Amino acid sequence: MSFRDGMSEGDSRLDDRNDASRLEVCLEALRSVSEESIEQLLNEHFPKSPELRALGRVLGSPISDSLPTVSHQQIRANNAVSFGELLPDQVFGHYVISGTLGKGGMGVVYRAFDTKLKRDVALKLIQSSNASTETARSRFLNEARAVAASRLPTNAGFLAPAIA
Amino acid sequence: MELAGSDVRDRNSEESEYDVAVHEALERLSKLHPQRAMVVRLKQFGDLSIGQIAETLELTEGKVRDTHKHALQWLSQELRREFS
Repeated sequence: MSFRDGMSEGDSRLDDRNDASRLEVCLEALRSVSEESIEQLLNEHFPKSPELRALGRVLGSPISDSLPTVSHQQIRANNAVSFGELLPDQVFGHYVISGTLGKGGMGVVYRAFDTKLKRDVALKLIQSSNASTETARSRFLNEARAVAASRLPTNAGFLAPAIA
Repeated sequence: MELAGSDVRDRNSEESEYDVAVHEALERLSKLHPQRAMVVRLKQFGDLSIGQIAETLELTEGKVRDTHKHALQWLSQELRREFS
């Protein structure tokens, strides 16, 4: 018999919200622990729920922590180019696309492998439709110049802006 | 305490079964609630901050926080249901 048997629908919804809150706290905590302590932390948060431990393990995987913490602006400035949708295994500059993390009105964020620095990065690119406006063009060119002038570490490499 | 070989195999097998279920649940989330899935991917796998996600998806930071929480709630519920 499941621990949920006999629970009302209201109890169940409350339990789901509690799970989400505990998971949120656990994921935050996972960001600051060593790899060896991950299982211990998951066990402390979800001692009787292997499925939620797995959820925490996958979402809080150290792989995500290995993505460089390059600033959003910097990535965008470094890669202010016009492009179509990129597919997994497609090469873009010195990056190999491994998947799409998300997309919105202004651009797309890909997970990609930086072949120069040999590591995964979150690569944000502006959509070509947005790049075509004069305002966007100026904004990205200015950002690219600022990055070049400040000699910030170019974690994602520098690509000359090629906005249409 | 060290685990015996068979215990380690059992634990790894259990982890892999649940991990597969998590990835399948993420796929279902992408189909049913694409925006929630995107927020989770950007936050957890892309390591983007709430502010960065808000800018990328053109949402308010409050909306991103709510969406992230709803996504975690949905995923927890799905996995609870599958293994109850």
